Amino acid sequence: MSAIGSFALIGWKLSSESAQRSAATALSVTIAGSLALLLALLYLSELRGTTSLSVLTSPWPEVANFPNISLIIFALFIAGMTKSALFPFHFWLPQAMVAPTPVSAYLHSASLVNLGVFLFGLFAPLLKPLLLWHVGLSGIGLLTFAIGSILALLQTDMKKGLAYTTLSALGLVTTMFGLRAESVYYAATLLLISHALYKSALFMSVGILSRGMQSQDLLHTHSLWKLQRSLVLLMGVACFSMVGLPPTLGFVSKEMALHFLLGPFATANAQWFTWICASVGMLCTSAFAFLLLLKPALPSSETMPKSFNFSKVMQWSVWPLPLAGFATWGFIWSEFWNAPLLIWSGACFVGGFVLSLLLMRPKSPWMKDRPPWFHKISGAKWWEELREHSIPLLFDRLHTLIENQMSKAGYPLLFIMFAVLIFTQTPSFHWLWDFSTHTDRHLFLSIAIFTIGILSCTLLLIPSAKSLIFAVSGIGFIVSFCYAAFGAPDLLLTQILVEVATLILLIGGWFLARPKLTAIASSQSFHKGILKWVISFATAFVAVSAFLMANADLSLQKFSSNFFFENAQRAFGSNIVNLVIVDFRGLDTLGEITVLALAYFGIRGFVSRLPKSGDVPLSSSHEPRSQWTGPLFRPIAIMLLLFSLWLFWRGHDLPGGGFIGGLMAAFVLLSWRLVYRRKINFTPLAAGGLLLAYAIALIPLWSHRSFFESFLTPVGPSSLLFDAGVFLTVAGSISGILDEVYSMIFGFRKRGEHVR
Amino acid sequence: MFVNAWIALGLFLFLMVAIRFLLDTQFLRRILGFALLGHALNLMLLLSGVTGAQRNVIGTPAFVQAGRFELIVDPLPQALILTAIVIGFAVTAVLLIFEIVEKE
Amino acid sequence: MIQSWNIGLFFTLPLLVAIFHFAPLSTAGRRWLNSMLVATLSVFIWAWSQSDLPQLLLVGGWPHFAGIQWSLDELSLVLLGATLLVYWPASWALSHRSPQMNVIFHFVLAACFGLILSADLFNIYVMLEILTLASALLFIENKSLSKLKTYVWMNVVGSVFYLFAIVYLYQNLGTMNLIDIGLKWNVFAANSLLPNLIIASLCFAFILKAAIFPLNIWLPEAYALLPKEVQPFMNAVPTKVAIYLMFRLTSSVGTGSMLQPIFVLLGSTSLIVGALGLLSKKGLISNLLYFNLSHLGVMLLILTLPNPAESLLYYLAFDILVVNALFVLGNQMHDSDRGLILQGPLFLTVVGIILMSAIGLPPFGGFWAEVLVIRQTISQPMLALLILSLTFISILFALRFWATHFVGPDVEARESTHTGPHQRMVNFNLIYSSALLALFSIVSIWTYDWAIVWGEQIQKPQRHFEKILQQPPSRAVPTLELEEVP
Repeated sequence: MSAIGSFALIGWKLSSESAQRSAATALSVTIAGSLALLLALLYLSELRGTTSLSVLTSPWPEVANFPNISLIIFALFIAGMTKSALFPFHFWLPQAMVAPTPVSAYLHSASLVNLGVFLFGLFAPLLKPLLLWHVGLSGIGLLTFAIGSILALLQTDMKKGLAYTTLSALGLVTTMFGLRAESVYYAATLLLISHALYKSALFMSVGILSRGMQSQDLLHTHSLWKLQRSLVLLMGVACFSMVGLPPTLGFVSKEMALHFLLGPFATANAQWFTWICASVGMLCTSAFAFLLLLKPALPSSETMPKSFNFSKVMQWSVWPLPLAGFATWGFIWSEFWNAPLLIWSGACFVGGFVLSLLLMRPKSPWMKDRPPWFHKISGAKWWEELREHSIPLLFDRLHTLIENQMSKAGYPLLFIMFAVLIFTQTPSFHWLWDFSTHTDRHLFLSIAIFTIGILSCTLLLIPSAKSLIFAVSGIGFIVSFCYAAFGAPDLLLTQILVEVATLILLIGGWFLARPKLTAIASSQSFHKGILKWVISFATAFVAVSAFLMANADLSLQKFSSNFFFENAQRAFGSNIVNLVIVDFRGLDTLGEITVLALAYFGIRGFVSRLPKSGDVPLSSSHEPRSQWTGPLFRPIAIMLLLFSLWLFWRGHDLPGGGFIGGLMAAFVLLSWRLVYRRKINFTPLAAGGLLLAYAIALIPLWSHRSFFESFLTPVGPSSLLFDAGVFLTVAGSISGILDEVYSMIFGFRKRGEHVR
Repeated sequence: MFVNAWIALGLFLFLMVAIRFLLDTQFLRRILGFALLGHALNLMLLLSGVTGAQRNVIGTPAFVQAGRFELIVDPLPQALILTAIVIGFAVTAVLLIFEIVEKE
Repeated sequence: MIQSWNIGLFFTLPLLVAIFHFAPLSTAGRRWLNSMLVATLSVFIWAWSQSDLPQLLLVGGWPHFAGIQWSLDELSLVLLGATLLVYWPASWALSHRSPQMNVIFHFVLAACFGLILSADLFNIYVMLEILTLASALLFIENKSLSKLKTYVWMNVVGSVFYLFAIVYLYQNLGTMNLIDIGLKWNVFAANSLLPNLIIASLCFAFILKAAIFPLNIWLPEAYALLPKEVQPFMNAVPTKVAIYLMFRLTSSVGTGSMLQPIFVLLGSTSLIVGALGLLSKKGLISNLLYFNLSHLGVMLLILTLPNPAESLLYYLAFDILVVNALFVLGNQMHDSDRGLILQGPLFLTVVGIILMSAIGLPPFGGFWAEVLVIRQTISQPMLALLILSLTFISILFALRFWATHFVGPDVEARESTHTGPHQRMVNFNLIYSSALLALFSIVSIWTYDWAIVWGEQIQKPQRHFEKILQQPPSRAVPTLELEEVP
């Protein structure tokens, strides 16, 4: 949340694109750190079984045994480094200086950036024994200390320079937490406190300075001694604290830090590394401090500004900060004073002073304006470039590549390939196939299915579409014969009727889509053809062999032993299949008629979108009826309708039922429509049937029975009414669907006309 | 198991042709392939309901008058097949209409 | 007061309402009808949350073997609630359009509810068909049908594979009931080579419906063309229901076993592809579709964890609400909108809540969902790294979204020239969706500890076994032999 607040503050200038970009950079980097912290915390809490922070951070010897501990340490490192802007995640902090100065003073020097090192401090007791922690943290800290101060020297923007020194100071603090001595916490805390005090003082005074001088650039500030001595004094105290001169708190904290830093070393390389980094850091920090102090103060050859416009009240309000440093000086330990170190730090101080004087010579390269490439190379620019251009571009390219590949592959092919991949989960061991050898009872069935297989092969050779449709329907009729041979009369009837309906539908569709069919060239590359055959073969093979692998001797007997017979009485019927459909699994049937009705509603909707023009050309001699059709048809239709009603009525005890009756009725209705050209509105039929079915499911609730329970009505069992609903829906939907198609063919209505 | 070699072979050929049709470029063959696949699945569902004891009663329809479960074929898959047939028809109709309407 | 038969109302009431929408009602009439539906169902949801879960409904009172069973437990309840909450504004907006759309939308809703509640695999098949057809028919008023054909064909072939699985299931186990399958699975798996095939085949259909990569090609193309009123609902709900079904399947049979590596692979690829699409430059709606895809990948990865239920409890509901809100926002905005920060504090708050929830920042709900997931990945840190990088990429996306549309040079231009009235972006749907997210955040903080407990319970199929055995023996219930369930 603090990251988001800081984001909003940095992006204060809404219209400045660079400000927004810097804000976004800051946010993205710090949130990455937060995510890493989340990971580390969650894993640690899982590991120790608690979420209490005090327990989590207490020392625990077994922590080294956990296999993923280095991951946790890396996560903590990243969290701390991003939040405190340590190298290599340092680039966001200087960019964040576009925020208003008080914000920079508080957040980005004193409080917010301390969060990262605070994290390190929290977990140091737990993780100190581990080598990775020790080496990593000290290394990162020292590097940051050195590099930050070098970079600070190179800057001319005062706030950016201060930002770099902030992160170098934080680097020093981080190093503290990486060391293994016991009292490093005192040193770290003192460092933090003194840094907070002097840095915020410096920020505020730099802010005052830049407002007064109208420029934030160090090169353009001068002659402050003449204008505002108090400001120079203020900055002087703060700078001395930064460098580490004796009367200030900074001195104490630096000495303590150095004492721990230059203590025992692990290896000789570590010693060299530490000495170099520490020296460079101290040198450059003091050089920067003197630059900051002396350059604005001294006069220069440029014209003097007229006056210094800033209120004195603001200046006086900043004074308490460095003074507080003096006050706490009294409570220090004298045992940390170490003569060689004092000499050494004194040498650094003098060296820094000399360096700053050297840099401030009028003709030195430092005094010139920075070349344009200087502002371009920075980690921030690199990160922003990455974030805004490179990553999205890369993502875009990869994404487009994937999409193109996918759509080129063609969906069914891809599909089946994937399915075959899954199917290969189960090897089909042919020696596990279990064939039976009985042939007496199922002779017809075997013959029928085998014939289907052979016939389907011949399907491949049929070129013309119409013959293909008839052949497929023929196969459908043989399938119904299979059902008969198996002993499933309901299925037989349903299959025959549905096959007729499909035939009618497909022929109608073929007629309507004829131009489209002939337009499609049947060219297909040979290789693709082979691939499709391979896939078909593989899928069929696996499917059938899985079918054969079922082991029927398992003791997983179905519970069906007496289920049907015991429950048939409560269902008031004796045709068990019908009982299953409308009673036991009535909800499935409910869904099924919903699907059918949905199909009809949808087809109506789609057909009614067609524009009014464009009728299928039909020769006028194609008359669907002769002089006799009308009178003859009426009694036939009525008989068939009665027959369908009889089929429906007897369904519960004998083969029949709602579907079969409904299908017959559908044909009757369709022929009625086609013969007499009378408009029949099928929607109420379908909708009414659905309504009846749903009502039957809900009515038992009124008499405190269960959902969809069957009960006796004066007419018959409730499942009869449900079957009536099925009857109506099936009749309405199927005749409706076929009617839509055939009305288009026979031009009963122009496409686009509603039947309402 | 109940299935003998003829049935297995017939099913295999049927499935192979149906899937091949399903993958075709012509829409009519695709629709027909889908219908054939539906038939094949229904047959398999029918045959799946036969456990060892019931292989001798093929051809006896399921009515309560039979008295015992061992004397009838399993009625539950038959109901499932009926549902699948009707749903298959509905979907075939919708797919066909898409093709017809799209021409506009 | 609450009886198990109330569960059936969830399916039939929307169907009834669908039929009622055929009548020539006014817009206000339709709104009233839909609101009555929402009110009734929410009363039931509230009542169930106070009662003893899991509930088991034997549809029609027919006992176990051939009867259909529906079940309700905490996870289903959460999902039902989220669906209902997201349904209401969609139906409100849809009442302007043709009666046909209203009818079809209610069929979609009924199918979603049926899928959540059903514990019978063939019933699920029928519901899936209803869902496929109804979602396809939502495109009735579209200009071009080619994407729709792809959509329907892919779903149809998926159902065919589902039927294959049913064939093998019935052949080997003799039952369709998920609970029963759970009982018999161990013996089956020990004696046969087929269990993986069956599970793989079923999961194939579910993966297709959930639009996991590589079977997601139908989703971005088709769902971008949906009518705007239903786009949030359709992107949010059906895919999550498919994930929920996969969870039910894998928890019934004990483990995902062989499918673990496949889930991990598919989940990671979906996540990565979704992240790729999230930062692409194709437009906001396309980005959101891929955001959806990446979250689906995360959910698939959740299924591979040792205790998916506790994460799914939050993640499913969170994802439904967030995807809904994001799409509502996406429908309000155009790709060329700039300088939206001037829209006023209400809009900014709303957008802020939505974006921060979507990313997964505390204290919003997404954070808690993430926390629950990452906690369990301690032995497979790669998953946590993937999920966290997804969060990071979402942040990049949000930053880019913010920079493009909200701030930037245009802000000054608009302030200075005062060109015309700003189009008011805030509407009721937007406020409602973000209020839902805020509410979810509060609730998730409050129920965090319970979620872990519930999660463990939902995982165990024994709860349902006990419920079956508690059924009154007055009907001829054959005795179940309980296999030893480890």
